[in-house]
Amino acid sequence: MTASLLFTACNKENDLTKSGEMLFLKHKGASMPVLVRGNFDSDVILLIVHGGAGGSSAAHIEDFKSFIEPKYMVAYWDQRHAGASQGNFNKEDLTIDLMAEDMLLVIRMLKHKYGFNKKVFAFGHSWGVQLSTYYLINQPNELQGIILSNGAHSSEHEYSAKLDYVKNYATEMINKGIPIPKTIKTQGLTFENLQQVVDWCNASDPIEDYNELTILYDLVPAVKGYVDETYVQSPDIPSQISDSELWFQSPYNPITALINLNRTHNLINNFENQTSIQEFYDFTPGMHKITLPVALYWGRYDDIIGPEVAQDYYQVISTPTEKKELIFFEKSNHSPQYTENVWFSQKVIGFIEEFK
Amino acid sequence: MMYLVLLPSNGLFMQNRFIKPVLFLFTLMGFKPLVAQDYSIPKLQTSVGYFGEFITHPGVKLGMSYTIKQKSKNKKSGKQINKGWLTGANITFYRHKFNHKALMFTGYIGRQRISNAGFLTQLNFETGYMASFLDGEVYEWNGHTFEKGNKGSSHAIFGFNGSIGWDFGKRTSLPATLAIVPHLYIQAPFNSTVLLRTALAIQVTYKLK
Repeated sequence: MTASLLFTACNKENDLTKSGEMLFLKHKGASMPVLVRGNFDSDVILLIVHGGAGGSSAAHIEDFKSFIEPKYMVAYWDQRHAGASQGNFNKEDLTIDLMAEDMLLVIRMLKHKYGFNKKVFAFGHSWGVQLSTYYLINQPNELQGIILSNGAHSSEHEYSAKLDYVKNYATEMINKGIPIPKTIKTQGLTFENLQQVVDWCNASDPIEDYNELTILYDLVPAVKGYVDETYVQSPDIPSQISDSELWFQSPYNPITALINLNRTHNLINNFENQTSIQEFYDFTPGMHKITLPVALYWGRYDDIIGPEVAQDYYQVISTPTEKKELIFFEKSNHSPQYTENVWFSQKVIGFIEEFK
Repeated sequence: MMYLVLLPSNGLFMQNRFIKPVLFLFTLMGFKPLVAQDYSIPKLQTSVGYFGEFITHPGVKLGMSYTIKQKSKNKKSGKQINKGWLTGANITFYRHKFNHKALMFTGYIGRQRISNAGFLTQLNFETGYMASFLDGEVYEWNGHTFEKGNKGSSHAIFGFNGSIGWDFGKRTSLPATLAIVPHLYIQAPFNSTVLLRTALAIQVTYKLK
């Protein structure tokens, strides 16, 4: 198997270590890589703010290389304690405040390196939406515009959307005569059929504690298979990057990424210990400060961050109507940039061209 | 065809199947076949090899090894097994492009076993110092603008590596070994914790004394 992976890795069609430039931002103990690829003659840089927390920008290279990189520079930033990030710092320095400060400095570093006339846009996905929103509220905005996909700004809306997802598609399955895929046992409860799932959702709205949240997460598999099979298309991404190339012939290392992800999970995203900064929070009170052009490109059938979140995000920011747009990708779940890559790329280019 | 005579008739089939053509090749190259019974692990050896961090990030590893203690066991069948405790030091450099370069100074102690046919296995505990350098342009914010940042950082490393290979000196007059050496080691500190690293080396050692 290793030999097979290595053989595939030798087919370096994407040249992940040959094209582009690698910059590192050293800040408060972290050495964060920013791989810059694409069209260096462009006056636009698209900064990737990856998910997680603790994920990696590497997974997004295939999302942007076919259509966006030929047109703009794309900066793939790995946040502190994530992806290929290196450094040496205390665990107390892994905070969303410091990560938002990092984001500001990455934007400034890109302008310092490539010219202050460059227009920097950001693309935030999943946790990247939460971090970008926090940045826009708490740091001076130096972005020209931002594209956000399937991430949250308020756990109240996130849980409400997830309850709707489970309840609505469970009802749809009942109406079609489709049974629950398997019995679900969680937190002392047993769900043997979909009507029990629907009844629990009705009785538990709103979600108020970790116990209810755990049950809700565990109920998602009751409907997710049906939803994905019925509504979500196979990715239309023109060319994927193989795991073997990412593992063996790229700036990234899967062991580093895994250790960074696990450590970040334990420190700031720990659901089991009920200490996650991604649960039971609300950025809404500060979101009136957001006035820059915003594109909300959302996979409709997302079991993680549902459509209600995008609708609320659109409403609560102060960006004028003509400078914000909300588009649902009707054949996608959590990652429309991957599933509907062609249309997603067209929308990104259209948004950047309008507001650059 | 002298080499065929020298092989133990009751040796392992796989070993013989491998060693016969190798010995034949070495005979053609001018190295004389030898009887294994009076063999001892060289006292002092030097080594050079490819070092691939996570297999494909290329580097070079240079080293010296010293045999502290050894014993050989001669069986009635004529077979001889050699075992020894070895210590040594290595200098390793590699580059993971767009990630980091590293220079490592390590010392090790390990146990080696060489079969009658020359099949070599070794397990080492290795520890030392690693200087790591970011492989890219480094920027640091000084509160007003960016300055070029320091690329280097210091780390302790410790872990295990194991050799699987062949000691040609046991059967021919070529005083060398060839081995594949997987490494598993810890780099500390790394971010707020430690990092597990892997590597694969292909290493040749040559007898000095």
